[in-house]
Amino acid sequence: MIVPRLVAWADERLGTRSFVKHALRKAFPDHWSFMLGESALYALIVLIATGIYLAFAFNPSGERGPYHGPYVPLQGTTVSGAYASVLQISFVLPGGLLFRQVHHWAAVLFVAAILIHMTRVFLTGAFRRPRELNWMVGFSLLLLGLFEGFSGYSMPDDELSGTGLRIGYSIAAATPFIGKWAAAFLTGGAFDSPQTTGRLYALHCILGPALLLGAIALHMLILWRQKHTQFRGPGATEANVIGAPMWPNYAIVSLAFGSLIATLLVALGAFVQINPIWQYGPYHPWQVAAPAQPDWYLGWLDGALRIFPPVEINLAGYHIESALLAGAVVPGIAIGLFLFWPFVERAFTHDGAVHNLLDDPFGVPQRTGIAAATFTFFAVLTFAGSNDIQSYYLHVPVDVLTVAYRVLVFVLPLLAYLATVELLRERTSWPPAENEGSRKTIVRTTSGGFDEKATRS
Amino acid sequence: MTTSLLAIYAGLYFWGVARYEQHTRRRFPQRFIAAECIALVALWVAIVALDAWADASFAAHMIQHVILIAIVAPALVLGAPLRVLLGALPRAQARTLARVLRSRAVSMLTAPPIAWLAFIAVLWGAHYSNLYELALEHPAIHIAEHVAFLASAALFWSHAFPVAPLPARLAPPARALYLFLAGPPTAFLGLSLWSSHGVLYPHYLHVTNPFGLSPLEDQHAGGLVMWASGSVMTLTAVLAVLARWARAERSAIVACAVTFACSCIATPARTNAAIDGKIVYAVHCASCHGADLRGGPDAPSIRGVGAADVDWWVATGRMPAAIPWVQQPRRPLLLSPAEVDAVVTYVVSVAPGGPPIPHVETNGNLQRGRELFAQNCEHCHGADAQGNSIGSDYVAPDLAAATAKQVGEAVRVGVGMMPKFGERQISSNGLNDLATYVDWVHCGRQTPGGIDLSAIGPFGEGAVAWLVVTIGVTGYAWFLGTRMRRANETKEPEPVD
Repeated sequence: MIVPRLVAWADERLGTRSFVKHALRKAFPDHWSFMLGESALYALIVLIATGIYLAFAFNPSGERGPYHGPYVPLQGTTVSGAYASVLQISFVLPGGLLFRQVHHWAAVLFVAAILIHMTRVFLTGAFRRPRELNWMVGFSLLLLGLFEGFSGYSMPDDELSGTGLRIGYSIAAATPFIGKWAAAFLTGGAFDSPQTTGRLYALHCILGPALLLGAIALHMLILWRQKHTQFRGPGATEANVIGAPMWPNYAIVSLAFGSLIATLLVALGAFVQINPIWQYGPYHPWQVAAPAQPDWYLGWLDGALRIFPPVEINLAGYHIESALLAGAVVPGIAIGLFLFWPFVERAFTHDGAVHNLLDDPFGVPQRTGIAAATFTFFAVLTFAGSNDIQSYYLHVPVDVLTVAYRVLVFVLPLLAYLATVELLRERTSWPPAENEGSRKTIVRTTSGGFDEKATRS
Repeated sequence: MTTSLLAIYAGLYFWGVARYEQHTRRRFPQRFIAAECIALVALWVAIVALDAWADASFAAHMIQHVILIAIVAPALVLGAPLRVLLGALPRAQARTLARVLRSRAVSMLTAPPIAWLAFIAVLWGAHYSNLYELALEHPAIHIAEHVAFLASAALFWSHAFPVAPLPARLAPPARALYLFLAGPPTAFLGLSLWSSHGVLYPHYLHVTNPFGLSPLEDQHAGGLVMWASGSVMTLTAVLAVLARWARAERSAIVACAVTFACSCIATPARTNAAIDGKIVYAVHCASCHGADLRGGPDAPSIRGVGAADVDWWVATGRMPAAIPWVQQPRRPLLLSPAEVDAVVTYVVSVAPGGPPIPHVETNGNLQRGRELFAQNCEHCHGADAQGNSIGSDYVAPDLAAATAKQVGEAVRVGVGMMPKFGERQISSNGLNDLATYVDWVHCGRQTPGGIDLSAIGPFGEGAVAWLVVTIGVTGYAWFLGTRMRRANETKEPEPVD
C-alpha cells in the first residue's frame, strides 16, 4: 500500500515515473565482457564500505609515543599515532583486521579490474568516436585508483610503505624547478615530517574519493547518454542496441556478479594475509624494510627505477637524474600516450567516423599487437620490480637479472607485437579462398589403392 | 631345569663383575647390574611361571613373547654381559675376544640393518608359519624358538643402547629411526592377528582356555597384546633415545629435522674420548686450509680467526665446502657435534686469537631485540628473517635454522659479507635480545590474518589478486554472460532503447 503511494507522491513532484520506467527498460548488450567494468564498480563499493569503518578507528597523527597493545615485540616502542591506530585496528578493534584486509584486497583488485575492463575497451575499439571523452574519464579513474592505492598503502606509517613514500618523495623532489615545492606538498615539509600522514589522510579519504566518485558519475552519465557499444551480430546496427532490458534480466545477473566479488573479497580478507604492518615495524628513515616493493600496480614504476641506467643530464643549469627519468618521464610518456589514445590512433588511421559497433580484436592486428606490446612492457617492468626476490629464490645473481630486464624490456614487447600482428594476419587470410584450384579429389580404386582425380576448379 | 640354568648364569655374571672390578680397579655401574637382575627375573617369569598358561592360551603365549622381546632382551643388553666378559677374562683371551668382536665378519653380521632384519624375520617367521604349531608340539623346538627370540631381540636392542662393545654405533637420530622402523612390522603382525577371521593355530582348538575365551577371541586378544605392546615398546624407546640426545646436545635439536633423514646410515664408532681435533682437521680441513692453517689457493688462512668463526662455519655445515670461494649455503652437518668442538679447540690451540664463542641466551628483551633487528639486520635478512638477495650473487640467508649461538657468532665475527658488530655496537645483553627476537620470529611469533605471504611481500599479494581477477572475476563474468545470452536467444530481440 505504502510503496505505490510513495511512488505516486514522488512522481507528482519530480516526474520520476517516466524516468524510472525508461531506465528499467534500458537495453544492455548481452556479451559477458561488458560485465568486467562492473567488477571494478563493485570492488569500489566494498572499498567505500570498509573504508568508512576503518576511517572511524584510524588516527592520522604523526605524533610519537610508546605503543601499549597486544603485539608483544612492539610493546613500549615509540611509534606514531597512525601506526599505533592501525595496530589497534588489526589486533583490538572487533573485525578490524578483517575489514583492513578486505579493504586492502579490494584496492588491489580494484586496479586489476579497471585494467581488465580497459583492455576490453581498447581491444574492441570502443574508445573511438564518439566515446573519446569517456575513455579519458575512464583513464583518469585508473590514475585516481593508483593514487588512492599509493596514499592508502602509505598511511599506516610502517617501514615498508615509508620506504615507498620516500621514493615517491625523491621522484617529486628530483623534478626540476618545482621539485622542492612538489615534494613539500606531499609530505607537508621536509621528509618524514609528522604532518605527512595527515596530508595523506585528507587526500586518501576526502579528495581522492570525491574525485573518484565524481569521475565515476561522469563515466556512467556519459555511458547512459551515449548508450552502449555492441558487437556485430544479427540485427545489430550502428543505430540500435540489442540486449537484455535492465529490469529484471540484467539487474539480477549484475547483482549475482556483485555478490560474487564481495564474497571473493571477504574470503581473501579472511583467509589470506595482506600487508602485515606489525612485521615491518614503525617507519624510521634510517631503516629499510626488505623485501621492499610497492603494491603490484606500482611495481612497474619500481621496476623502471631499478633497471634504469644511472645517467645524469645537465639541462640549463638543472640536474636531471635517473630517478626522474625512470620515475616521472617514462610513466609520463606512457600515461600521456594512453590518455590521448583515441586521438593518437586517429592520427594514424584517419578514421573519424562514428563507431557504435565494436571491432573484433582478431580483426585489427595492429591495435591488438600494440596492446600485447604494452602489456608485455609493463609486465617486464613489474617483474623487474622484484628482481631481488627472484634472485633469492632462483639463485641467479641480481645483477644478471637487472641486465636481462634491460634487454627484455625492449625485446619482449617488440616480439609480442610482431608475433601478434603476424598471427592475426594469418588468421584473417585463412581458410584460403576456394577458387585457388588447390582442392583435390581422392578416389579409391577397385583394387583398394587411392588415386588422385582431376583437379576441380 | 630352566631355573637352575638361570641361577648358573646369574652366578657367572656376578663372578664376572667381581673379576671385572678386580682387573680394572673400577666399580662396575650399579645400574647395569640392576638391569641384568631385572632381565633374569623377567626371564624366569616368562619361561617358568607363564609356561603352563602359554600352552593353553594364545594371549598368554603372546604376553610371554612380549616379555622376552620387550623386557628381558633390552634389560639383558643393558646389563652389558659382553663388557663383563671382556673385563673378567685374562688379558690375552680378552684381547682375542675383542679382536673377534671388532672383526669384519662380526661387524657385518651385527650391522644395524642385519640386526633389524633378523629381529623382524624371527618375529614373523615364528608366527606366520607352521613353526608355531611345531613349537607347541615339540618342547625342543619351543626352547630353540625362545632362544632365537632372545638372541635376535638382544642383537636388535644392542644398537639401541650404546653399552655393548659392538663396532657399529648409530648416531642418536639414526638410532631413533632404527627403533621407529621396528614399529610398523610388529604392529602389522599384531593387527593381522587381531583382525583375523579364523583360528590360525589349530592347537588351541583342543585345549581348555584358562580365561574362558573362545579360541578366536583368545587369538584376537593375543594380537591386541602384540600390537599395543609393540607400539608402546618402540615409541617409548624412540622417545627415550630422543630425550637422552636432547639432554646431551641441546643445540643439536634444531638441526635434528635437517639431519634426521641424512644421518640414518650407521656411522663408525664415535666416542667423545676418541675424537682428536688434529685428526678431524687433517681429514676435513687441511686439504684446503693447509696443515699449518695458513690457507692456500683454495682457501684463506684461518690463523687467529677465533673460536666463534670456526664454530660458525663448521657447525652450520658450511664447512667442509665442496666448491671454494663461493657463498656457502647451510648444509646438513658432516661432522658430529663432538667433532666440531674438537676441531674448534684444535684450531684455536694452534693459532690463538679472534673472538671467542659468545654465550647467547634466548631469554632477552623481545622489544629491544626487534629494534636491534630492524636497525641492523632487517635490510638484508628481510623483515621476517626470511632471507633476501643483497646484490651480485650474494644472499643474506634465511635465519630459520640459526641457533642463538650461531646468531651470536655471526654478529661478533661478521661472517662472509656480513658486517662485524663488536661490543660497542651490540652489547652482550643486546646480543641476547637479538637472538630472542630471531628465535621468536621462527618459533613463537603472532601473525594473524590468514595465509602468510609476507616472505614475498606485495609482489605475492599482487599475484594472488591477478589470479582472482583472471580466474574468479573474469571467469564468473563469462559464465554469467554466456548463460544470460543463451536465455535471451530463446526470445525475440529486445526493441531499441
